Amino acid sequence: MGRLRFLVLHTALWLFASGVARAQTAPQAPVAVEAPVVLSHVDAVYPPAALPEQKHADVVLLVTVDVDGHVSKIDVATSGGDLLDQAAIIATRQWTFVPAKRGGVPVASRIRIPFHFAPPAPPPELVEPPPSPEPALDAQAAVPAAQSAPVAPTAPTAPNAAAPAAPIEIDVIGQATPPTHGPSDFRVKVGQLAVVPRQNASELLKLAPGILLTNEGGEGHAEQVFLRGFDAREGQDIEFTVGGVPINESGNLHGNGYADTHFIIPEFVEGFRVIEGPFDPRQGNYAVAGSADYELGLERRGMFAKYTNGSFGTHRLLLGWGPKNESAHTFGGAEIYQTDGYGQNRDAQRASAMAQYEGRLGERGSYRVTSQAYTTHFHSAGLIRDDDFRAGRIGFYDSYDHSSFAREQIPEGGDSSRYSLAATFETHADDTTLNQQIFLIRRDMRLLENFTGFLLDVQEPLQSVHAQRGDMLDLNVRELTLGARGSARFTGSLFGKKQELELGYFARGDQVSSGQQRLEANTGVPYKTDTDLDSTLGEVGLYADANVRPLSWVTLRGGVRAELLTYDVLDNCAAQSVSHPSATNPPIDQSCLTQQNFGRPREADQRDSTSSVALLPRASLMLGPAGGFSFLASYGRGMRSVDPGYITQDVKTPFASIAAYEGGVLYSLTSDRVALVARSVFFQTHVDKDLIFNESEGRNVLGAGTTRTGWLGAARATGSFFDESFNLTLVRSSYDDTHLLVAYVPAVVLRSDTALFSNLPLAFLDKRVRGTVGAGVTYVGPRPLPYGERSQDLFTVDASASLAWHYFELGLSATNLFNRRYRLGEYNFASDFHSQPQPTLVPERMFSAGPPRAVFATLGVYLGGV
Amino acid sequence: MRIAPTPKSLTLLLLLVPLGCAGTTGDRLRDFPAAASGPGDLTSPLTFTTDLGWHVILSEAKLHVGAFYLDQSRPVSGAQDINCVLPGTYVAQETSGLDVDLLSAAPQYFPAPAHGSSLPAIVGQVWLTGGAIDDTSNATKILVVAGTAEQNGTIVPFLAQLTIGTNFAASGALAGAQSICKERIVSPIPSALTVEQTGGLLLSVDPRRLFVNVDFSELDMTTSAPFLFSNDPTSSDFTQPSRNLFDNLRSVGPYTFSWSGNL
Repeated sequence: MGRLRFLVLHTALWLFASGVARAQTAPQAPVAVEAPVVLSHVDAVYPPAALPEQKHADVVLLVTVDVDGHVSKIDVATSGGDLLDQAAIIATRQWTFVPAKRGGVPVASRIRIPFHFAPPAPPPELVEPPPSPEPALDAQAAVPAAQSAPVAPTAPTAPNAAAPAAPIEIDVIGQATPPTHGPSDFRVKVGQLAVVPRQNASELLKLAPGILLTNEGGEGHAEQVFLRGFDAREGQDIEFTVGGVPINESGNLHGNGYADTHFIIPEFVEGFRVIEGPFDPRQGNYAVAGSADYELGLERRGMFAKYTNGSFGTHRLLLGWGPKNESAHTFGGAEIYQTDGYGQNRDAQRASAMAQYEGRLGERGSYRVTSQAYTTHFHSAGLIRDDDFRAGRIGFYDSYDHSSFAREQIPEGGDSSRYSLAATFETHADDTTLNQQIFLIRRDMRLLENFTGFLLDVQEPLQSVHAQRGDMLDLNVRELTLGARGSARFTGSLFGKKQELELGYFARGDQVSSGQQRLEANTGVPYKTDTDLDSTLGEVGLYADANVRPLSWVTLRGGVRAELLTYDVLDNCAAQSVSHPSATNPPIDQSCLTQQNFGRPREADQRDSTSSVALLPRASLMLGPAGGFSFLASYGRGMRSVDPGYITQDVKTPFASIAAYEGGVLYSLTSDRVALVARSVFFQTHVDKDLIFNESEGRNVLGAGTTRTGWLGAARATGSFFDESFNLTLVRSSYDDTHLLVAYVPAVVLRSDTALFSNLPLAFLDKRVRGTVGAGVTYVGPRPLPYGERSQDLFTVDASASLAWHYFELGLSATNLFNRRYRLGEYNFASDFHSQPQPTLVPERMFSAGPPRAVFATLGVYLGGV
Repeated sequence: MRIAPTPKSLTLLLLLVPLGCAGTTGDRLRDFPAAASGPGDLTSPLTFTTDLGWHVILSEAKLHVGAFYLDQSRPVSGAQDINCVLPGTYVAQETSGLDVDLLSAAPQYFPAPAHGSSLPAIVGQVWLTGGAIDDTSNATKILVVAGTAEQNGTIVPFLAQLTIGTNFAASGALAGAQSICKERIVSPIPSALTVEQTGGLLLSVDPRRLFVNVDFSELDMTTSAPFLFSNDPTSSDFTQPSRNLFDNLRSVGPYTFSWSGNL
C-alpha cells in the first residue's frame, strides 16, 4: 500500500510538472477512477533508418485515450529522437483500450506510456512490466493493464520493439470536478455517441434520462426542456452552464432564466454533467429540475473542415482546430449555418465562433480563457389549431403567418446574439485546490411570437374603435452579465480516510432591459406596450460542501447553500388602466398611461426594489461499492427566483421552494470487452409555486404547488466497437391541492443512443477505412394536456453512417428516418386565427409540427492531427 | 458478473407505467351538435298578447345568430360596460352562424358542430352579426319580424328589418366605450349548464318577448301598410316601438340556453 501511495503522489506531482493536463482532485469512492485497460496493442518497431546509430533510448508519450477507448492525441514527453518518437507514436496510435471510467462512466483519460528502444542486435531489450499493483488507494487511481508488455519482434528489417513500462500515470482530463452527488448525477462523455445525429448542443442532453426537447419558436429560440416531470420551459427550471459560465438569463422577459444553448457548437462539447434535482451545494438559482454543465473540449487534434448539405436547403460549414501540442481544452472554430427550413416560415441563418486556450499557471496551476460569439436571424412557423388542420384550412407544416386569413406583415421568428469572455484559474498548494472564474456576457434577443392569433386585443374604453389588431408579441431583451465564482477545496485526513471540504461562492450582476409590444398584423407596427422594464439584478450564493468518509464503504456528501437575490426594477409602463379617465384629456390609445382615476396625474413609470435570502441544505449518502453495486440516496432543497415583473417594493421575493428526495442503486461492471454502468433511481420532487404555461403571456407564470414522483433507469455500455446509452423515465406530476396531473409534462420518456465503429477490411494507400454508424431513438408517451386530454405519442429514429479514410470523412445522416408525421409540442388553449366565421374563444388543441425526414451529407477533412 | 432482473423489480416497474400514464388534468373538450329554435310551446300561427294588451299574430320571425358562446365567469359589476369579451374562460362556442326561424319549435342545426369543455357555464352570449363583430359596415338583416297587432279594433300590420352596423356605430373621443360589438352582443344570458358527454346545446329564442312594452300605435302610420319599425336610431322615426324592439332584441329575455339529450 505504501508503494501505491508513492505511486499516486508521484503521478500527481508528475502531472503538475508536465503541465500537459490539468491536475485532478481525485474523486472519492464510490465514484472511483478506473484507469484505461489495454485491449490490443501494436509493437513499436525500431526504425530501420535509426539502425546505423544503434542507440538505446527512452521515449515517453502522453496519450489521450478517448471515451471509446481509442487513442486520439499523443504528445512526446520524453524524446528519443525524431525517428524513435515517430515509431512509438505510430505504434501507439493503433492501441485500443477499455476506456477509463469515473464513477463507472467512461471518460477520456490521459496516460503516460514509456518506451525503451534497443537496436536489433543483440535482441531488443524490453522494459519489463512491474508487478501488478495493489488495488488503488481509496480507488483513487489505478494503473492500466498496459504493463502486459509485448514480446519484441526479432525480424531483421523491423527488428525491435519497445513496450510500455509501468507505472503508467493516469489523469482524468478536465478541470477539478466536484464529487458525485447522488444517483441522478450524470457525467456524460459524448465520445462515440457524437455520431448520433443531433441538431444542436441541447440535443446532447438526451443522453441523460427523462429529457424531452421541443421547440415551437424556431431555430434561434431556446429549446423547451422537459426534465423528469418538469416543464422547464426554455431553461427556467434548469441551471445551465458551460464550463461553469452561466447560460440562464436572469430577468429575461420571455422567461426568467431563459437559456439558449444554440451558441454552443456541438463538436466542441466534450461532455456534460446533468444533475436531475437540487442535490449539490454548487447548484444555484434555477436548479429546480436540475442542472446541466457543458464541458468544452476537442479531443481530435489538428485542423478540420466540415461541410454539410442536406434537405430543405440546409448548408453548414464548420472550421475547427486543436493545436497539436496543446491540451484537449485548447481549441478554436467557427460555423456558419443556413436553412430554408421545412414547411413554411422556418428559415434560419446563424454563425457561431468558440475558442478556448488552456495554459500553465506557474508550476502547479493552470488557466483557461474562453471566448464565444454567436448571432442568428430566424423565422418560426408557430402553432397550428388542430380543428383548422383537420378541416383542411391549413397544412400540417404551414404557418398562419403565411395564410390568407391570418397573414402577418412581420412573421414570427426573431434575432439572437451572445458574446462572452471567461477566464478560469486553478492552483494547487499542498492540501488545497483553489479555483477562480470570471465571466462577462452580452446578450440580445428579439422574439416574435403569436400564440393566440387575434384574441386578446379587446376594445378598451380608452382606445379608438378598433377590431382585433393581432396578438403578435414583439419581445426584446438586452442583457449584460458580469460575474465570478470561486472555491477552495481542502483535503485532510480523518478516521484514516481522506476527507474534503469545499467552500465556494457564486456572484453575478445583471443589467437587463426588456420590453414587450404587440404588433398590428396588417402593418407590423406596434400598437400596444405590454411591458417595459429596466432591471438591475444581483445574486450572490455561498456554499459549503463536505465529503466525509467515516467508513471505507460509507460516504456522506453535502452541505448548505445560501442565496441572496436583489432586485431593482424600473417599470416604465407601470400604469396601464384607468377606471375613470379624465373627460377632457383622455389618453386615447396610449398603453403606458399618465393618469389615475378621475384624471389625477401620475407618471407612467415606477421603481420597485426588494431582496430575499434562501437557505438550501443538501446531502447525499453513498454506500459501497460492493460487488459493483453502490447504493445512493439524496435530499436537497432548491429555489427559483422570480420574474422581475412580479417584484413589489419591499415585499420579499416569492421564491419557489423545491424539496427533492431520491434513492437508487448504481451498478458498474468492467471487463476486458465491455464497460457497463447502470442505475435505477426512485425520486420525488415538490415545488411550492410552480410555473404554468400561460398562452396569453406567451410564457410560464406562477401557479400552485406540484409534486413529481417517478423512477428512472439508465445504462451505458461501452466496448471496443460499440457504445450504447439507454434510459427510461416514468413520472407522475400532479397538483398538490387537486391531485390533477400537471399538463404538458411527459409521463414516459425513453431514449436510446447507439454507436458502432470499427476499422473496415479496406485500405487504400496503406490507410485503413474506418466505419461508423449511429442511431438515436426517442419515444415519448402521450402527454397530459389541459381539459383532460392527452397528446399523441412521439416516436422518432435518427441515424447516421460515416466512412473515414486518411484525412477524409464522409458522413450521411437522416433525422426522422421513417418520416413519421408527429407533433413536437401540443397545447390546449383558446386562440382565434380568423379561420372561422366568428371568433374562436374556447380552448382548442394547438400543435407545432415536428420536422419530417431530413437527409444530410457531410464531408470532413482533417489535417495535421495525431 | 451477470445481472438478472428480479420478478419483484419487474413488477414494480410494470406498476409504475400505468402510474405515470394514469390520471387526468381534469375536465374535457368535445365537439357537439348545436341548434336553435323558437319556443317549445308554439302555436301555429303564433298568436299572443303583449303586456300592453296588443294581440299579435306573427307571420314571420327570423333571427340571424352569428355565433354564441358560454362562459365560466359572470361579469363583475360594471365590467360588462367595458369589454365585449367576457372575463374568465369560455367553455362553449358555436361560430358557424344560422338564420333561425323563430316560428318553428323544431331544432334548426348550425352548419358546423359546436365546441366546448366540460367546465360549468354560468352565462351565455349571443352574437347578432353577419360578419366580423367589429365591422360596422356589415348590413346583414339580424331580425326580420312581420305580422299584425290588434288592440281595441285597431289593426296594425307591421314589419321590422333590423340591422346592427353603421346605424348603431358610435363616434367621438370615447367611442371605444360604446363600440359596435356592444350593440351586437346579447350578454350575459343566465346559462347554468354543463356540456355533457352526449346530446347537444339548444338555443331557444322566444319572439314574443321581443314585443315587451312595444306600443304599436306609435308606429308611423302615415305610410302604407305594413308599418315599419325604424332601423335608424338617429331618425325621428326611431320612436318608442322601434327603440323597445331593438332593446328587447338585445336583452337577455328572449334567449334561453339548455342542454338537450335529443340533439
